[in-house]
Formats: sequence, C-alpha cells, structure tokens
Amino acid sequence: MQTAEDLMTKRFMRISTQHNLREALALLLYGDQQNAETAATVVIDTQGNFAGILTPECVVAGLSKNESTAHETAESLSSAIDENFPVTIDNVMKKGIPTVHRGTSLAELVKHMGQDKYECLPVCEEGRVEGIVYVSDIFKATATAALTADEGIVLE
Amino acid sequence: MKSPLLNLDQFPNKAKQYFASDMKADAMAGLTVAVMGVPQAMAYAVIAELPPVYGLYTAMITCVVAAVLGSSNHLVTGPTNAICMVILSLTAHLPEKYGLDRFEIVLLLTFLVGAIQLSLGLLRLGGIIKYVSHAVVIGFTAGAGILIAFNQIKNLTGIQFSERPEHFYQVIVQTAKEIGNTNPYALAIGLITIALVIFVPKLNKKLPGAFIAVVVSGALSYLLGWHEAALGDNKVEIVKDIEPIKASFSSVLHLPETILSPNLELTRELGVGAVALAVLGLIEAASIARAVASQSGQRLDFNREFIGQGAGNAVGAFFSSFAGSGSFTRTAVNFKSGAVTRMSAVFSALWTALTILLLADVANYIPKASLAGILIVIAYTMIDKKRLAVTWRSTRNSRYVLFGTLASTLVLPLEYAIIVGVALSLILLLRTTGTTDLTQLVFHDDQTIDEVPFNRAPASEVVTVNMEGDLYFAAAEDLDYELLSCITPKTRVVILRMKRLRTVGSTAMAILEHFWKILKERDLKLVVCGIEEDLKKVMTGSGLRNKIGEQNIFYADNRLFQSTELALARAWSMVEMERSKNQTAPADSASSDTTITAKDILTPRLLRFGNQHQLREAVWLVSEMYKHIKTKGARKLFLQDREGKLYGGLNLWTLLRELGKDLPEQDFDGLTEEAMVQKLRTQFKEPITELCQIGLPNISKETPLHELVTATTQTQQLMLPVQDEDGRITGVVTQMDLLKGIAQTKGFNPEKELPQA
Repeated sequence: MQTAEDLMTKRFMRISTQHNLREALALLLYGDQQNAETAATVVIDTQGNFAGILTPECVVAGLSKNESTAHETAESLSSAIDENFPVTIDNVMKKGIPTVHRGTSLAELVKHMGQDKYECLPVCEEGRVEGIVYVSDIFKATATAALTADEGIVLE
Repeated sequence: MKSPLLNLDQFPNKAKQYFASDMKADAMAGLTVAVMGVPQAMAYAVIAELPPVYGLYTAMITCVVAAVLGSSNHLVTGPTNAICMVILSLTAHLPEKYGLDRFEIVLLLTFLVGAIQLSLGLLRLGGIIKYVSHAVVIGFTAGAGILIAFNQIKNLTGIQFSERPEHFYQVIVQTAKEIGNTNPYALAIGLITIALVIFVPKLNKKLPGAFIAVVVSGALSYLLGWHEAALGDNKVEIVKDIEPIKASFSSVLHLPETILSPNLELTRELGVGAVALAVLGLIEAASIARAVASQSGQRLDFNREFIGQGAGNAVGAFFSSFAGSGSFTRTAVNFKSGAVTRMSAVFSALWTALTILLLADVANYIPKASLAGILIVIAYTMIDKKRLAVTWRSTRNSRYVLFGTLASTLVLPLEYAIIVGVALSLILLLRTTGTTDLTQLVFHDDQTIDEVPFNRAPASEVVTVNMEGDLYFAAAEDLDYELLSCITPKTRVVILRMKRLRTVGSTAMAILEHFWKILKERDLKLVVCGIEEDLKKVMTGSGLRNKIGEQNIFYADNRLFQSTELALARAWSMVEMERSKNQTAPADSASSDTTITAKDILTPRLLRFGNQHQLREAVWLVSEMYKHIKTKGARKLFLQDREGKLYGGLNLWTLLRELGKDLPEQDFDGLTEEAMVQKLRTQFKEPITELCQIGLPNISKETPLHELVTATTQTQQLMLPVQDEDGRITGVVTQMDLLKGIAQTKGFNPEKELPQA
C-alpha cells in the first residue's frame, strides 16, 4: 500500500508565524505568478517547528475580518483589509492539523481527511516538516486504487 | 513411452463402450432412416430421371463416406429432391449432344461437384456458408418443390411426352397437351399412394407412410396384374421396366469413362452447373446440420462438413452414385429416433444394402406412379408455407432474396437460380454491411439527446458524431472527408462515438489517423468514446491510441452514453481551457472600473457533472480532471440538474469520506492493499445527489467583491459558483481569485511586498 512518503510533495512554500497578512498576501500572489502551488503554505514557528497551515482561505478570512463578519459595502471591506494587514499569521493559520510520518499508510491518510477539510497533511520527522501530502494527492491515489480493478475504466 | 500404449489400450475400450451402449440406439435409428429412405431414394432418382437403383446406391455409398468424414453427428447424406431436380436440369439435353449415356454424364458431374466441395473444405472456406441468407434455401426449395410437383404429374398419370421439355412452361404445356391420354391404372396407383402417405402417419406417427404406401400399391398392382405388358398402353410402369434392381452389388463399382478419359468440352459445359450444384449441396447440408446441431448442442466445423460432403460425392461417382447432399427429412428422423453417433448413418446404409439383397424382387414391382405420388406429397411439403411467410415479413432484403430465388427457379435453368440466389444474398449483405452510417448527436441542456442526420446539427464548439455499421475497407473510403464536412467554423472539438461500429479493419485505422491529422492541422481536438475491447486492440496496434492520447479516449461501459458523457465533459473542458487562454489578456485591461465584481476575477474552468450519476463516476471524473490541471488545491465538482441548472457541489473531502467509509478506524497495518480496494469500492453505487451540498450561495457575474468575500466566509464555501440568468454555472470564484481581487482594490504589487526570509 502507498504511504505518505510516496505521495508527499517536498517543494512547498513556507512562512513564519510572525509574518503578517500583508506579507502572506504578497507571498501567495507572487507564488501564483511564478506557478508555485499556493493551496497550502507551511507555517513554521520561531524554533523552526511545524506550527500550522496557511491557505488562501485563511488569508481571505483574516483580511476581511470585522465584528459583523459581513461587509455591506466595498468601503467596509477595504477598511477591514487595511486594519487586518498587520495581523500575524499565527492568528489566522489553521492549527491542530494532525501530522503524519513517512510510513503512514494511504488508508490512514484517508481517515484523517474524513475528520476535517485539511488542505494538506504535513509529514513530520522530529518536529521538522519533510514534505506535505495534499488532499488532492490522497484523493488521486485512492481513486486510482479503487478504479483500476474496475472493468470498463482504464487509467494510465 | 507410456502414452502410445495407453492410447492403444484405450481404443478397444472405447469400442467396447460403444458396442455396449450406443450401438443399439444407432442401429435402430439407422433402420428407421432406411425404412423411410429406401422409397425416398428411389423416388428421388425418378426426379433426376435416373433408374431408382442408383438412388439406393447413393443412399449407401455417399451416405457412409459423408457420415464418416463430415462434422455433424446426425446428418444423413444421400439423394435429395432439390439436387436431383438440378441434376435433371443440367444433364437432360446432353446425351444427344455428346452421344454419351446420361448416367455417365451424371457421374462426371457428381465427381466435379465432389471435387469442388472438397477443395472449398480444404481451403477452409467453410465459414462463407453463413453469408448465404437462409432465404435462398427457403426460396430455392419452394421453387424446386413446384418444379418437382409439375414434373411428376407426367409419371403420376402415366403419360409420355412427345419431346423433352427444356423449360418449366414447356413442362406445363406438354402436360396439358397429353393429359387426355392419362393412364387410369397409373393414376389410381398414384392417388392410392398419395392417400396412404398422407393418412397412414395420421393413424400413428411412428408408421413409415412412404414405405407402407409403396408396398401396398406395389402389391395391389402386382396382384391385379396391372404391370403386365398385356395391358398395352395402359400398363403400369414399374421399377423393373426402368432398370431392374439386382440382389447383388457386382455392378456397384463402376469406373465411368467420362471421368477416366474426360471430354474437355463436356467438362467445361458442366463447369458452371457443377459449381452451382456444389454450392447448393453445401448450403443444404450445412443448414440442415446447423438445424440439428442447434438441438443436439454439437459444435459444428463447417470446413470438415464441406470435406465430408465433397468426399462423399467424389467417391460416390465411382460407385454408381449421383450427387447427393444432406436430406432434411432423413436427418430429422435420424435425430428423433435417438441416433447417438455418426454410426447411425452408416447403419442406415447397411440396412439399405440389406433391403436390396432381400427385397430386390419386391422393389422391382414398385410402380413409377407410386413413386411419383410420394414425390408430389414431398413437393408439397417442400413449399414451407410458414417459413416463407416469416421470411417474407422479416426484412426487405430477405424478401428480395426470397422472391428473386423463387422466381428464378421457375424461369431460369436451375443452376442459375442458385447463382442468382447466392449472388442476391451476398450483394444485399454487402450493401447493408458495407456502409458506415453517420449521425450527429445533439446534447441539450436538459440532458436529452437528439440523434439528427449527419450535418444537420446546429453549429457548436463540440461536434458529436455517432458512427454505426461496419468500418472495414469497403466502407472506409472517403470517410475521412465525409467526417470533415460536419466541422463548422465554430467547431473546436470533434467527438466520435464508436460504440456501434463493427468490423473495424486496418484501413479504417489509416482513415481515422488521417482524420486526426487534418484536425490537428486545423488546431482542432479529437475525442473518441464508446471504444470496445476489439476496437481498442486495433487502435493500440495501429498506434492511433497513442496519437489521440489516453485522456481523449473513453472506453465503452455497460451504461448507455456513459462514456459519451465523459467524453463530452472532456471536450467542453478543452473548449473552456482554450477560451480562458484567449481571455486572460483583455481581463487585465478591464480593471479600470473601480468596483470589482465576480466577472473580473472568476475562473471559467470548472468541473461540472450531471447530478444523476453514482459515486464511481464522480470519483473517476475528478481523478481524470486532476491529470490535466497543475494545481494540487482541492477542487469542487459542481453538479447540475437535467435542465443544466446548478444543483449542488461535491468536494474532495466528501468524496474521500465516502470512499473511506468502510475503512477501519485504526490498525491500518493489518489492512492489505486488496482488502482496502474492496472497502473503497463498497459505496461506488451511491447516488451523488445524496452526497452533495446544496443551497450554495447565489452569485452572479455582477456580484461585487465585498459580497463575494462575505458569502465565502459566512458559508465556508471555498469555491463560489457563478451562475447566469438561467441558473447555469458559468464560472467559479476561488479563494485565490478573491485574493487577486483584494490586491487589485489595493493596487498591491506582490513582488515589492514579499516577506523577508
């Protein structure tokens, strides 16, 4: 059976907990221009350990945050963004993400994904992030396993 | 070293087994066949206007050879009515022309027929028999039945023709002219025979009607002295008058001069007729063998059957036997009487031989009129009213073949009637199979599909062509150019649905490849779907599969239009990819407008699917999609209802949760790959409507950015579907799109704002 090691991506963007939303927005947009994967950015704390995951959703939510969680006007949104730009990443990132190991099996990865909408799972060894496994990669591996034995549909 | 000994040991065992069990059944079946066959064989010789004794020889020699060498376990070969009619038609006029004995000519013909059949079998052309329509056999047999009936009126009434008739109408004319000279004794004998043949089996089905009829009528004429020359013109002609049957076989082996030192001109003249007769014999034998095999369950080898028939005739020619074939009535009786092996046919020949030895004197007194009576009854049954009606009603082509063959038997010399029938059925076969029918499929937004004539579909980016029929060399000519004619300036992708194609050959692959090349030159895409296993093989072998690309090939599924739908999804995603490529440039310049709305930032590419599918298909479609996009981000599958309106969304996590539903909560190490695959597939048949999230936020192209942001944070939707006025999804706003919108409002230059490492 495939394991996290087979599925993980070793090239990913990183950001620190102490960076702010303005910098995060810049990183994501620049990464997008450079064709880097922006779906998940690994957040590292000051000790260099895994702290959480920053997704575009976190940045949108962080930038638009106000008391009412709703914006009636464009101005309302604009001022909220200005206010939120200095907010640091540790306030907006997704925390409590289960970490996995290189040897974690596909079946276990699938089960983890059933718990919450994690964009990815970090593969950690001794607190350091070795790579990340995207939900899409877990899905692809699962779909391939489930479908190849199936008559009528051929996958490469 | 052991195996040959084993085989030798086994042989007597097998024989012993046979003697113990099946031999009795075969002997009894053989006897039944002989009792029925002896009068038949004599009568059929009368059709060919040959001495009845040769009919008996044919029922012995040809029968044994064909039974031993042929394929069918139950086929009884020997003289048959239709073949005898053709023999007469082929040879009647030749003796005068060549100054030869007619029987010698018949033997040469028989040898030629056998040789032709034997070569067809040895060349392994047995398979061709299935291309001859059954309508030919039915039409020809009916036609021959009519000919036989009219021909036998002469024998039934004991009249003589002043000159030999060559055509069917001449037979009628001559009969009508001479009918006044009817021999009342002969007619009485004939009518008694007909009555007995019809009514005896009605008393008891097991009684051999024809046998009883000839014995009774023969005895009657003998006792009344009607066969004696004293009656003059009113004397009843008996078998002895034609050629006496001797109770010995001294004259059976006969080497015909016509074969040993052949007359080339005669041989050439018989040639066409011999081919026709050979084909007729094979069609008859094969269709009878097939009919019995369908009941006995035997698997037939038609090549071997051809060899058996050919050898039977070729050998028979040296043993005073004329051309024969499978007899329908005797074969049916053989099977019904419980024959187990081909030995039953051999037994029928032995019983026939015994009949000659013991009853030759009796047989000699059978009146010709009596044999004619039997033939008239048989002729009536040859016109298979029920099958004629069924064939007539079945298809227009069968009707042409049936009528064409039947009419030509009555008008043309019989050998040409066969050729006409076979040619008709082959031409019509080629006409129906030799074409590839093209239609176009139009998919409406409400999920209905119209099949419209080729080139009649409204112009669209995606053209779907349905190919039907055969695609071998005969049909493939010009197909590439014909296919091209469905392309309009709007077309971007062509889908070929090949589900209903048969017999696809290498020529067809070359044509398709050419089509693919032309499309490529015009920057159009080709998607094929409904690919069956055979076609897949041919496509792989020709390299076309690689050229088209696996992502553009969709294999046939059991569900109608399943692969077509996937192909369509693929085609439209390609169209949209292209569209978005072309749109990226102008989108930036439009940003002068200060308020940013959904249309400024949306991603036109999205994955949509009908909501009536099952989990399996959704999983497949999404996994296919991931092969063609760069991002690893979670994408959503949008479902639309039958009217094309947005129904709901299905995200990766839901799909994964469903797939993993039966996986254990822990102890993953004990889970084998196989067990996992099994568990992943348990939910495959779940309808996706029940899994998807409905009530997605209502977003239009004009929805401003702040409302989009509010919608996504309040509903937790990572991808917002943008709908048009009709509720159809035209695009999607992702979280990255929102960030780009935010950056736009702030005039943000990401490169300058990058964080320090």
